[in-house]
Amino acid sequence: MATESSLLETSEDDAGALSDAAVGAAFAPFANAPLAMVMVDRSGRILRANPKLEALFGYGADGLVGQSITMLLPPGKRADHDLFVSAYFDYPATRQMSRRTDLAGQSATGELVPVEIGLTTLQIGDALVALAWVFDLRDRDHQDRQFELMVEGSPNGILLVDGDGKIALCNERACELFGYSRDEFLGKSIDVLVPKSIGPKHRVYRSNFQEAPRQRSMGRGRELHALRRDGAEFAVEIGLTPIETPQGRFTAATVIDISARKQTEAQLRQTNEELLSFAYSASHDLKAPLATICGLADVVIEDLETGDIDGARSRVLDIQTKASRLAALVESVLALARADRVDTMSRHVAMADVVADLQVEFETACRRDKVRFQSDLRAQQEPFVEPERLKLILRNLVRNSLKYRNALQPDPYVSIETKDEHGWISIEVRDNGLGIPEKNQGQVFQMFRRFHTESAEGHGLGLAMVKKQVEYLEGKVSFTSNGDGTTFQILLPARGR
Amino acid sequence: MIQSVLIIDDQPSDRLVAARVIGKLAPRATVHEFANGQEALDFIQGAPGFHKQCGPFPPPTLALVDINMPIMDGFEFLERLEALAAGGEVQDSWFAIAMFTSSSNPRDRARAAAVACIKDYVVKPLTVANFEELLRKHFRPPNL
Repeated sequence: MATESSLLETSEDDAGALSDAAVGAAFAPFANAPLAMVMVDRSGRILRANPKLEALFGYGADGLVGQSITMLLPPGKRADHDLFVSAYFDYPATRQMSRRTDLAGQSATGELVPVEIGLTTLQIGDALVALAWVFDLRDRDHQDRQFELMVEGSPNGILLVDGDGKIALCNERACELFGYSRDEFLGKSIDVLVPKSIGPKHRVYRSNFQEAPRQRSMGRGRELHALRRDGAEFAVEIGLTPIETPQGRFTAATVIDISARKQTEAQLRQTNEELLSFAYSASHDLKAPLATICGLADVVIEDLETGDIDGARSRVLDIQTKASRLAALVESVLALARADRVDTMSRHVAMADVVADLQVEFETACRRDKVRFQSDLRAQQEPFVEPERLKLILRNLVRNSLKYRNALQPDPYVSIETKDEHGWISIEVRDNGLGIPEKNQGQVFQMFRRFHTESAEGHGLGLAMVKKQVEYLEGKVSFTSNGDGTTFQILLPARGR
Repeated sequence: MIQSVLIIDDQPSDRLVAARVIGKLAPRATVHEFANGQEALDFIQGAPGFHKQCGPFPPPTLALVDINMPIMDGFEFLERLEALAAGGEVQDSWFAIAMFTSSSNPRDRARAAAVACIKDYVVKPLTVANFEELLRKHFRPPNL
């Protein structure tokens, strides 16, 4: 603490005018101020410093009094400082010391201390002294840095826009989102980020916001798009916060790129659409046979009442057939649902093994229907797939071939043939069956499509399933069909070992 | 009194059930069965009474039209029929057409409601109860 007893080295002209007691009395109100304060005479000598200041620069009590104020400056700034001091005494004013430059003091240990300094003058007797208060900026700098990190690290674009709609500040993410460099961005009108179609309206919105600013999200209930520098538009969500500063009113805008979310939403909608149409078809195909069965049961009751036992028997047989077909349909719907969740490891699959498995599976059916099951496997490459999915595909195609065999054909067959085909492995399932009527060929892969109502059992799910599975395996499926038979071709991407 | 019924449905069992119910409630009505819209259209265009150049066909007539049928489905059939009526080739004004389907799906109902000539919507199977209702609504007594 600067004590009353400390004597000033008096020299120069005005020395006599400054008694230590007068200085002490003048400084007394500041001695215990919560701010770091120092009193300096015209020559730049320290008359008093309070404990707060001594602590700030790391000096002990009275370690500063009598010293030149320049000892608190970084060495580089000391040379000219006396001039500044005398200039200040020539034109004294209460002001902040040079706002523009980064002020720093130097502590006893040589550490630089970022500071802000306020100045005023006091009259002690005839003499004028300067009183300075010093803010330690380290605390504030720390907060600023944290804030800056927060803004820069934000996954959202952040823009600070001034009252004229000019970009005053932006973070890296905002630059990235809109495709501008920071230098290009600053000072640009916010209007360049608004799609052309909205442009004029946006200026109105902006002035409305300026008149009654409040925190809100932009464009409630509307889909917002923003304009990239390259002219592309992307879906955004924008939050607005008015900010009052000594430099005027600003608006902070937070920009979130939601195009990925929008895309997911669209996919979800499509899936939902598919699901709806599936549920629609499924419910129809499940209900139709049930309605028939109910009707037939009424007829049976009537037959029994009239004593038509043969009639009743044939109706009941009909009911049985329809019921078991319905059961098979339910089973298929469940299988299709499960097929989405087939989740085995992909591996290189030996087609010979797959074909052998299918041959065993269809042995009885082939014998019953007198259909020859043959294969011709020429592909050198093996498909890299989940084997269960591949089997599911081929099983459905073979089943179709058997189902739609031509009873008039003397030598009905179903054949599985493979070959390499520039980057793809081709697997064909060929038959000499009824063929698919030409007018129906466009609907083959739709669910619940059957083109031979009277001739064959089935429920029209098989090929829909085939298509789905082939697509899952990133392959392609196509077919050719005429009165001589049908050939389905599956192309699977060839992936080398 | 109802004179004739056209059952247009690809399921023989559904036609059988319907014909039985009709036979019970309107034993004197003539029943014509068709497996798809094309067959029915061919019949109508050739049948006396429907076609302007032919003689009277016993009206009034009820047509039960299934939706899902191969070759020509119910909606296509009705479209063609309306086109023929618009061209003055057939008289459809006096026959009551009811959609005859197992679907109670609102989508199908809405689609049927949008077709001017469809007067009713019957969910399969045809029963004594719903056929009675049809007769009561579209054919004046003493139909029963």
